[in-house]
Amino acid sequence: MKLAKVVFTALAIAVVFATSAFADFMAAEVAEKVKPYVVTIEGVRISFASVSFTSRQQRILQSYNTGTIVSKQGYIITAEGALDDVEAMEVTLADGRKYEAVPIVQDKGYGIGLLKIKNPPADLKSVKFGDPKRIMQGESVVVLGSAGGYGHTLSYGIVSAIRNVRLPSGQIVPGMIQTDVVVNTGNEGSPLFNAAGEVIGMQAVYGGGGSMQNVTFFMPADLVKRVTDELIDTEEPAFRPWVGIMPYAGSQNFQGRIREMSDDLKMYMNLPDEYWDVGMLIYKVWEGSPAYDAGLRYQDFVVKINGELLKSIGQFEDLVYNSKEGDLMIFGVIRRDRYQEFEVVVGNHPEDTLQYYI
Amino acid sequence: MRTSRLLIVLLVVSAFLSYAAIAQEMLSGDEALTIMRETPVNVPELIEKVKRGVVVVHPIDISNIMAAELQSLGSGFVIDKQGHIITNHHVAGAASAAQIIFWDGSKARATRIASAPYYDVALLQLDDYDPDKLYPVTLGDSEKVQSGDLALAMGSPGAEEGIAIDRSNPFEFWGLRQTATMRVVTGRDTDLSFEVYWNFRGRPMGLTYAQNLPYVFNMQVPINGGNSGGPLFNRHGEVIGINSWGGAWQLSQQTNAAVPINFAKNFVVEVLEHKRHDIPWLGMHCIFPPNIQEAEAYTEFKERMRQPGLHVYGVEPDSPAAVAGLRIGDEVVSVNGGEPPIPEDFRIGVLTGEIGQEYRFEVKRGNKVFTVRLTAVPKPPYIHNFSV
Amino acid sequence: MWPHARATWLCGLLVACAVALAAIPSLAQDDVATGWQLNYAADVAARILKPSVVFIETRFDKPRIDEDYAIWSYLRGARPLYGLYGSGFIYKDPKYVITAPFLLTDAEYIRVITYDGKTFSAKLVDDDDVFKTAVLEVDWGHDYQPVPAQLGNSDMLRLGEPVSILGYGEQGRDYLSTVGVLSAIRKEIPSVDEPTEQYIQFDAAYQLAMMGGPLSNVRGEVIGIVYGTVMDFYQSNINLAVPVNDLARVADRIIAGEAKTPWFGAEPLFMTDQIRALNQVPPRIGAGIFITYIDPGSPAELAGLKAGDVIVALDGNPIVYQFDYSSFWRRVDIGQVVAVSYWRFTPGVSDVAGSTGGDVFDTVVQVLEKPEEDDDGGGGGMASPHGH
Repeated sequence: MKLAKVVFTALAIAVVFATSAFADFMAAEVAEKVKPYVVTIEGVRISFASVSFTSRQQRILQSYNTGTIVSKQGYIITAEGALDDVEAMEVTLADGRKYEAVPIVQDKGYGIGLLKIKNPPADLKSVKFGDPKRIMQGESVVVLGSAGGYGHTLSYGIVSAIRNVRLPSGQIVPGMIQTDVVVNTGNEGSPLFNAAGEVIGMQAVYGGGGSMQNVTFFMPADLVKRVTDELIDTEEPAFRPWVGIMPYAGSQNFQGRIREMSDDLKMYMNLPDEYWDVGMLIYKVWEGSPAYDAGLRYQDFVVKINGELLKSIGQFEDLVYNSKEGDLMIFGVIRRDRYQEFEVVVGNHPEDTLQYYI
Repeated sequence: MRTSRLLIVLLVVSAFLSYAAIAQEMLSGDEALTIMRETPVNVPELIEKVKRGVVVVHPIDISNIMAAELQSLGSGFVIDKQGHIITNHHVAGAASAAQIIFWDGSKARATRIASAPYYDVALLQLDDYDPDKLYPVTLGDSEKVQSGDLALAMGSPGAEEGIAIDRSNPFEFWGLRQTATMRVVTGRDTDLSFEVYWNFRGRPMGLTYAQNLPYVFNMQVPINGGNSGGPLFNRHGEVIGINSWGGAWQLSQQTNAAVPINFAKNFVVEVLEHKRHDIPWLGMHCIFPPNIQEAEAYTEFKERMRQPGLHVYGVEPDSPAAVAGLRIGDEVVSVNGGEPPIPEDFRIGVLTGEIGQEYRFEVKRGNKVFTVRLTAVPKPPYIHNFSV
Repeated sequence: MWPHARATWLCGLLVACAVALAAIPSLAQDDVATGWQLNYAADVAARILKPSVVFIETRFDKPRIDEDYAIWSYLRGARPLYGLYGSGFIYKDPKYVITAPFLLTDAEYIRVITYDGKTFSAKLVDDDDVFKTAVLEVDWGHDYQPVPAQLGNSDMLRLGEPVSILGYGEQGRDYLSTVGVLSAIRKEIPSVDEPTEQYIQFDAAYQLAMMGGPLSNVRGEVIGIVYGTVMDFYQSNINLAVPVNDLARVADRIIAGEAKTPWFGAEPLFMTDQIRALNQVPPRIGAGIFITYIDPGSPAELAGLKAGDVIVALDGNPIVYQFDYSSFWRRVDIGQVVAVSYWRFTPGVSDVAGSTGGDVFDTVVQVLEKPEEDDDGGGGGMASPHGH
């Protein structure tokens, strides 16, 4: 009985202090908590500038980016552009310690670059990735990065929206986190933290300057984690499912964005009634791609995939995005007024940036 | 038993101690405590509550049906179950109809029933709608807004920087719709300006659209092209302004403007009841001569040529000022028996006054001082200048 | 009497929990996803500091289109500038107003306008370019009661702390506040050449007329004054403020009329690899200040220091950055006794690591007042670092 009393009292006191500790949760607390996970990456490149017709001068360019420590072995992720042509890289931790780092792999598809500290210290801390499905629009978030080259700068905002965005490489990212945090050059690779100090995103798309205020995008943590794990494992760019089709873009406006077919084109094609509201017109098929090998060609009108009616390009893109290497996709296509089916085996998106080919 | 009582006392004491520690750490001063306790804000809940009233407004330029592309894109909000939508005049004013896209992606068509270029407000009416599917917002009181108040803007900024948005649905490109941004209302802006720093699609959005607003809200809430016409909510979820224009550069970061909602409310009420809206007008230029067209010339005039006191720099023909015999160069030494206000305050006073309101001026011309009486009349709609 | 001891325990536990939960301020019940304290920062600061923030307007002796005012001129289409404008706050000694020195360059007349629209004339007492502080003495007259601002403690600032800046619009009529977080506390900016001191970097939106205005924390205490921003096309919201502890020290010194400069008398050079190699400084001396010249009769000479010595610690604090050295001497008082540790090359003494000879010695220096004639900006004056 005595013991139980003591235990109960201890629990009660603990409850009291725990709930009071909860009250102290503020931006400053999160900042202190997450500082050790963020590093400033200094990349040195040697470029040649022409001084005169006959001589060229070697110039050393420095660039600053932000990185996130993802493993105690010293693996750090950042935006892949930070690793372009670097000769040497140096990583600065929050407490000022500097370490030499080597680039491992640049994944231009997802925009993530991986580097490794040569001799990581024993007390290196790696981030904990949060669950991006729990993110709510309006949630307060914090970015820690080397904005403008000035290390460990904090800025804050809220989650503006969560939407599907296409990266410059053409890779669609479902659930990209849009925030109203101000970021600057040097913030590429900055992690996005929620109130609990968990990483819920990483900045891969450049933002800052220009004419748009406070519209910044962060890749969701689950995608970042999946890609990072793959990069660490294979030291090769991560697998991106691909079939090799460029859907018809209608008029080439909005920088060539893919659009749906217009009604006049459908009339021209003489589509039967049941396929009026569905379908996607194939504009180009990349030679050597899985779709090409399967026999799909220009002007094929895709109406079904895997037996289901294809309502929009977005649906097609989702199907490709969610498939794995070697998956079979059966395309139901109308070619010259006849319905045919083709079997396409999903492959890996080639290194070259074939942005508008899915 | 004594031990347990002692332990209970310990618990209670520790509870109060931790409370005291928190209060000490977080706040000092009763004033700060009171302000911060007023309404803790749960932003995700606030957004859930209000987001269904926010719409995308795509004005349909019927003069060019073949170019039914994105001519202009703005935001708006539903204000009642009768299908009325408020947006900016510079979004919908040039078109007679608009396509409205709701929060869930569903679309409807709306007709523009009235718009006020001088307030930069336009009123649309949905053609065909189901009142149960409308989620109107609550309109607040913009007079109560103070500098530093939390403000949330919702709308659809256009993805002009080339960020490619997935188009799962046909005609998906309606900007980054249902975007929420939040900061504070910086304060009131009683200054007149001719230019804004931000152009949407290369078109200058000058303040000529809103020259008869007594003031606008200067806000730090970030907005971009496409946010125009969208609602600005306070922490209680009431609309206190219409996001209208803005810009940012290094020396003027996130300087955006919102039309205070009280003026829009006034406009809407008058239009729906009386089918017209007028603003009071005396017809005199009191801030600078009517021929100044450039912002820089205005700034230089204010600094170099502006004389203290209230002076008449121009008189509009057939206006109350003209009828009363005022001339360029007159100095108004008394208004309604009191000290003459500075010209900006005088302008605000006339604009927020009533039509039919009487003003008694004591005017000094050369050596003579005489009294004139003026009555504010409705401002003629074809007058587009800064006369009051 | 309670029938069961266990019941008493449970009751006590429940009571304690209830008390604890009720005692926590409602703010603490915010869910993880809700707004933080920064939502209130501008609100609180704006209300508490409103009576203490002033608008400052200056007039030049003649209109100017100088290079120095390029930004202002650019905004005005290269038309001449007649004066500058910005903000400031009323110091704890309410006769004085603190602002940024840049506003007062070439000023012939200085005017201060308070929140209630009253105008007063002011004159510059002195300013400090290193700490970016200017002190104005204001002629408040007999009727006006200026409200001094509460000062905070800038040594207690934390990364991420909510901050807000207060100031006025360009006309001096509109009271403005913006909110942000403390982004960093910096010791040097990589790309700026001028001598820097420790400063606060924050991301609250800065608008032109807020220069010199106070930076406030969540409790409405002044923690700095805003003196500038990083002007770079691709950067935004990198704004700078002087910490209030430095500001207050300088202001107090200026107000007390202490124009005397503390004098140490050693010409410093931050040790680089070249200097290290030339003077055979061993690797174990990680960083330090290499003395190139000792002023005759100076405290350094009196303490026995010579040219060629490397100062490695001051008052026990090791020199790691250039800033550590220069900022130390900017903060000493005349008459203060400082312990200096320095390394001196001693031939014939072999180092433990076997590389070169030399040892670290300690001495004591008493800081004296700088003699009048040493006004060339060089020669050992610690108050004018040569771009270090």
